[in-house]
Amino acid sequence: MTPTAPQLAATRIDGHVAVDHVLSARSALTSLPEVTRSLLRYPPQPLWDVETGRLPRRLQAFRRRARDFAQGTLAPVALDVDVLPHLPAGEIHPQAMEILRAAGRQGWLTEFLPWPLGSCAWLDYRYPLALRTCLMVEEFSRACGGLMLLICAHMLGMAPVLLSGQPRLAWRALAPAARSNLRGEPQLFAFAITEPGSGSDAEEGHGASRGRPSVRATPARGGWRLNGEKVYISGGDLARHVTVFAALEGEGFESWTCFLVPCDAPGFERVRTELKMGMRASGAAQLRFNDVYVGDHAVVGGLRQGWALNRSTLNISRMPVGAMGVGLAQAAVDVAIDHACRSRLGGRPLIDFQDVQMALAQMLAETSAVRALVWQGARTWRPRQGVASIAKFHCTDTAMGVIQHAMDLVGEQAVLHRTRLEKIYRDARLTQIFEGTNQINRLAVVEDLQEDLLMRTGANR
Amino acid sequence: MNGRIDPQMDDALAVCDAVDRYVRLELAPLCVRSETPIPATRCRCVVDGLSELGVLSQADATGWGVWDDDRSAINRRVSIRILRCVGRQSTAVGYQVHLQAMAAWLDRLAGVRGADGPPLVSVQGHLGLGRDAFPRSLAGATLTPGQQAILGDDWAWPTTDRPRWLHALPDWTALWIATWEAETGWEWRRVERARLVVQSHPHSLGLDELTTQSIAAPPDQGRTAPTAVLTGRVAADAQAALQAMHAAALLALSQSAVEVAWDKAQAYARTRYQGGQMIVGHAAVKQLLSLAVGAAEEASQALERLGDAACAWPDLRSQWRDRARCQVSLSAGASAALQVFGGMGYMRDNAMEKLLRQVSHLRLLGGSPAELSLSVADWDASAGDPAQGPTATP
Repeated sequence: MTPTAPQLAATRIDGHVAVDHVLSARSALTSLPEVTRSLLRYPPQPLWDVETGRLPRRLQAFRRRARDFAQGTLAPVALDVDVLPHLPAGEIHPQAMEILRAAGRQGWLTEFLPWPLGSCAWLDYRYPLALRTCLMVEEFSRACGGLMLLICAHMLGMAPVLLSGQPRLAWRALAPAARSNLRGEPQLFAFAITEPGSGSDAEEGHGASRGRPSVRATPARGGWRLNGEKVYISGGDLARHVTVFAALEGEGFESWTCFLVPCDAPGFERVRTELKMGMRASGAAQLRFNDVYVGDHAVVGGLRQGWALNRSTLNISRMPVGAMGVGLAQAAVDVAIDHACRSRLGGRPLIDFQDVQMALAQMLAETSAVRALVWQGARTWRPRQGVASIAKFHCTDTAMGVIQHAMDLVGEQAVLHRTRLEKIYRDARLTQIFEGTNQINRLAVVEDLQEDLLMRTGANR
Repeated sequence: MNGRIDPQMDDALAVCDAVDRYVRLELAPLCVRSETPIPATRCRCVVDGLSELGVLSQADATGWGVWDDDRSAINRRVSIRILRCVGRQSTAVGYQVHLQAMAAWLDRLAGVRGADGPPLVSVQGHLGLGRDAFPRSLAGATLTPGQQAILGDDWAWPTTDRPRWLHALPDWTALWIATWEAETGWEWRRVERARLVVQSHPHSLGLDELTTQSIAAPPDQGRTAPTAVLTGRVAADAQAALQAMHAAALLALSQSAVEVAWDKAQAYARTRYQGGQMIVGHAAVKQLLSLAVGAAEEASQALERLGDAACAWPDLRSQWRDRARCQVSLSAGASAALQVFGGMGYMRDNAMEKLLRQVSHLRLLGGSPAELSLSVADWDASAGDPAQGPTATP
């Protein structure tokens, strides 16, 4: 039974004075003179609301809408979807499909695209897309990492088309899919860069300068023929279109060209989906291109523009990976707080123990700190590689630390699926790997600061 | 297994060598596909096969099996070696062997011979280590009312609203459970499975081959039934010894998993090219490998100390201190080894993710690092007063 306000005021957590005690911070602020009281006193409020209150009004509403969808639609099925049997590529469990339909109908699959191409109101374009994306990704991850990826990998697939600067292509390729998604009939995109022999090479310039891409595009009458394999493609198992990066015959990564490939094209094959440690609601597919023909109109952004599109897409997508870390860390904190408040030991709730209070405060601080890092970095229309990479690796590493801390606090029960923590742990581990491993992202920071660092190095080289 | 443990201990060496051969021939082929857990029936066959080799003592007389004679430094070494050897192939099988060995140890201590099928033991209380109450109770020290409340509130006895969790093969027949009463202290009861409510749960973080089971005594069955088999000082000493064995086994199994993870990561780093060179040449990869091997070596040294005849046993304070430190670095080491593989490491057909899950799972059993550190700090704080903490037996 929820206690009443007076009951709450009179009770206390061990080691603290009651809220209505004369020495409590709340009482002290209340007893200030009226002028200063009006400036300094604040009502008790969950931290989520405090942080939301710092956002512009429209973004506050957006964050609440994202949370409502995540907690109302994703969270209730998250544990069930995680343990569903592994399906062959191209198949989806009805529960997951229902989530996709609901996400589509509510505009979450088209949120990236401005009206009338998608469902984002022009007024919302006052705020950077990266910030809106991060707010959404954080809330979805907090509910379920796998379902978040199922929904959001689609945005990554569309990004090269949006960034290509080709409005006609965008209209031709994205608008029909957006309309279908809004009707609740999912039409997804996937982003395909990783190849069996070159994971990290595709993520940073130095590696690419020495690596050899294996997916090749050879000229054919009126178009191109693609051959080779891509691996670990998030959402590649269900996508209708894949933005595929391929090198021109006989050339290296510098010739990378992005092709928009319809998945019903002859020669396109979804070989399999991987059995993953976590994020199991979303498939990671191995895609094979057996002489797949695409017309010249399928070239995204022009020939040899693939590397530029890849790098700019990564600059946009790494910040939301940081937000995934924040959401997953927050989910772990939620479980830990719930455990501390509901579990009793020796007749006392765990929250009464000082070490538990210390642990919770530490987790809250670390999660708030990485959230601030993401929000600060995402408040721009011009994503910077260094800033995005810092957010990506620091937030995801911190998230793993927070999650481990929460597991330590919950102890033996943290290994149980029903407590959610072990799933959060498995889901979060992927964020340290994809969109460039955290090691590659550290190097990306230095690459981005190269001019400044060389200036400082001066004659010392 | 390399080298002789002791010139006089040919029997012990023979068991170790036999286990080594058996594991390579019988267990390793079952572990080739990491994404497919070994079926419970096959696990049972392997455990029974190990038992026939002498790893689990069948008779009253002790041999050189796991935890046959924990007071003997040589037996502790052998036990740890066997667990590491089995654990290198399958953490779950190693853990099952350890649980059965502890139950057999209690059977021998109590002079009980059970019916068909293996007994097990529950050594974990409600919400972990029971704070400072548990270690103090082992010493028979006077407990504060708060500490009495923790142990008196069914800390170790499973109830419907506070079940105990077992990760084990489902075919056990009896469970050793401890209870604590303010007047009598620790008591051990051997409860037949039929008297408990056992439920299987579909999935947990690691130990894929074992079943996660919740255990509860029916509400109408008081803590006094069945009659206690071990009571008084013997029961308290048994509790301390079992906690020491448990801590050693958890560390040994985690260490072996990280050692394997490091082996695999190192081998992979010598074959994978990135940026035009083998990735083992990149400092970033060397850092990861160093984390893994450093953790494995640190834990290995801690385990070595347990087999030293000059070391006290059971010495929970030292063991928990070692575990609190090593389990954290072992988790980091397993994670670092996985990171070397990049995306491939996250996939279930690559053994790395399983190894990481095993280490993360074991980290949380027998007290999480945070709990262990807190208990050790409390112990240290009362070091000037022997009555406030368990006394190590040289």
